[in-house]
Amino acid sequence: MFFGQAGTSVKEGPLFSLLPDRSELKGWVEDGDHQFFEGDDLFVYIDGGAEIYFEYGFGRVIVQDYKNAAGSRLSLEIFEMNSPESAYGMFTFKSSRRGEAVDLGDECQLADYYLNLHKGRYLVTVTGLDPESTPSDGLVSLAGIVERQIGGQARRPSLVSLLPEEDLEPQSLKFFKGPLALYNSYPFFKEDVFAFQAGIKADYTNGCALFLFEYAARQTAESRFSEARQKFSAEPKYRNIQWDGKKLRAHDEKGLTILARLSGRYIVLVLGECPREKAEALLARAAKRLAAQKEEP
Amino acid sequence: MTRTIDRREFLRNGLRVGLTAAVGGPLLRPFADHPLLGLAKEVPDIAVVEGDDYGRNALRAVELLGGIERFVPKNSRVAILANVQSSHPGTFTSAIVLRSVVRLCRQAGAKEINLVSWQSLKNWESTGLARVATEEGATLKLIERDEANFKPVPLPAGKALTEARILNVLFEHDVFINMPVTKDHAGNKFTGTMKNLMGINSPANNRTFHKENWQTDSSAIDHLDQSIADLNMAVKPTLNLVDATEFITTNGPFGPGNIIKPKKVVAGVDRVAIDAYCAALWGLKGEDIVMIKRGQEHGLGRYDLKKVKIKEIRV
Repeated sequence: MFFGQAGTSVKEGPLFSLLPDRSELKGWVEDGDHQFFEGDDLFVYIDGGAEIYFEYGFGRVIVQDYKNAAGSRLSLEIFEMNSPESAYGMFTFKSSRRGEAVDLGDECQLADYYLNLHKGRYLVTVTGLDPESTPSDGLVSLAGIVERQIGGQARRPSLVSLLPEEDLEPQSLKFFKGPLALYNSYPFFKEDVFAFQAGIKADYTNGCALFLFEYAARQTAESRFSEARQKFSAEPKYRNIQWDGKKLRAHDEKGLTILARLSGRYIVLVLGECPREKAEALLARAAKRLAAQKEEP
Repeated sequence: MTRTIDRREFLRNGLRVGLTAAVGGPLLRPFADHPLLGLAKEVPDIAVVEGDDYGRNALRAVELLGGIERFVPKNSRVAILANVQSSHPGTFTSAIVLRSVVRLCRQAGAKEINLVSWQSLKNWESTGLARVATEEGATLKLIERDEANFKPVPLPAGKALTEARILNVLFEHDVFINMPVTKDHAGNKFTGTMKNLMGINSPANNRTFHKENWQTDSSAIDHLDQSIADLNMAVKPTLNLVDATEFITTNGPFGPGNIIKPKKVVAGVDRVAIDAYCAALWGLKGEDIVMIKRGQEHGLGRYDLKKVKIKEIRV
């Protein structure tokens, strides 16, 4: 059984059906055949960089390049992730803080020469392969065609709603499902010390970054926080370590302030160049917001 | 998914292509340490040239190192390893830089210039590097990913990797020029000369660099970086010439991501020093990159840039 184009297999079908129909491609034509990768085959496509997709939960991807009469080329990648949360996480990982929000899908961001969009469990990336001549309307219109084919809508992970909103930089969110993504945001430790169930990082306009690490139960959070405190003390790059029985205070080798505490089944951590009192205030606001949440069963 | 490239396809694309199917080649012919290398006392360890003309930057960088003749003897067979991992901007070796290096090799009187790779023809075409081969008279040698096309190289001093599996065809050359693009990497934060050598190691062997249980094993990144440092003991490039003109600093190694444009070409023999220099271009410290530290521990070079002779010019 084939779907529309010779050589398209059954398993490619659902993703293949999301590729734009030729009649919709105004001014663009396919440049070569599409490519399809599933499961571990992602290592063939993204050689040396597939792990982060697996950490978030990768299913399959279809790739198709396009070109226009002016010689510009676009590459379209449609990733089917394991869940809407996986797609959202990978979206935040790939998004740029300098990007511009576009009203498409569950969330969409246009950066210099590329666009990322997530909707449901799909992540769509459109890249201009010739940055100097990439028309941004080409990126947006191609993404829009794909977006219309994807049904449903998803809510952001609940951790997002736990972030204090005041002074939050909305384009800065990074959602974590594992240690690799966290390591890319800030390499606290080479080992997976926090071992969270899910995590999030948000930047604030005062120069602070807030990290929330979520655990299934309060007990797990306590034990992880206890181990983290020991590791902060043992790691040479952290200095001026103080523990007052509730809060950990430290500086990293660059002089960035670190404040951390427990709040129910969450570890709350503030990191930044922000003044100490601003960091303390953000930590307190976050802890208060978390305390207002229902406790775990 | 493995794509088999056949000769007819190459010819259809108008390329001069050699398909190396397997076997043979002398084991570990020494690439580096050309006799002339020891004679040049005044040349820097690292040459860095910055400017808007990236091709010229490459020419000048090699010139600062004493000229291409130091590295490429007349009538030699030259293998070049470029990075064609992805066609996203800032993730592959610049065609302009590659073109300059091919021309330099020809100028030195190289008998054969081969661009060796197990990556797909599509990657070579979409990055524009296949065109460089066609236009400059170099041969694109695309090797199938069949394990028979890779020669086992024992690494008795390897700590994570005890055997590399290097492209057979590489050993049929006298000179090996390593031409990575420096960029971000989502695992170990950095890609440069040492990581690029995964491009001559078999994909199956490369997979062992990434632990099966990497998601839960806290030493997974360390294992990856140690494996890369170990691999670098198998082969010593004659010359490393890094494209640091335009590259991604996020979402590496595949992109797309934020691009910075230092407009630099960085060349030299010491892989550790070059990688430490390139890492600093976007605020990383050599000693913070595990792979770079492990490289120094293996005696592959020095990451303390205060102890390295660096010549930087702007053209």
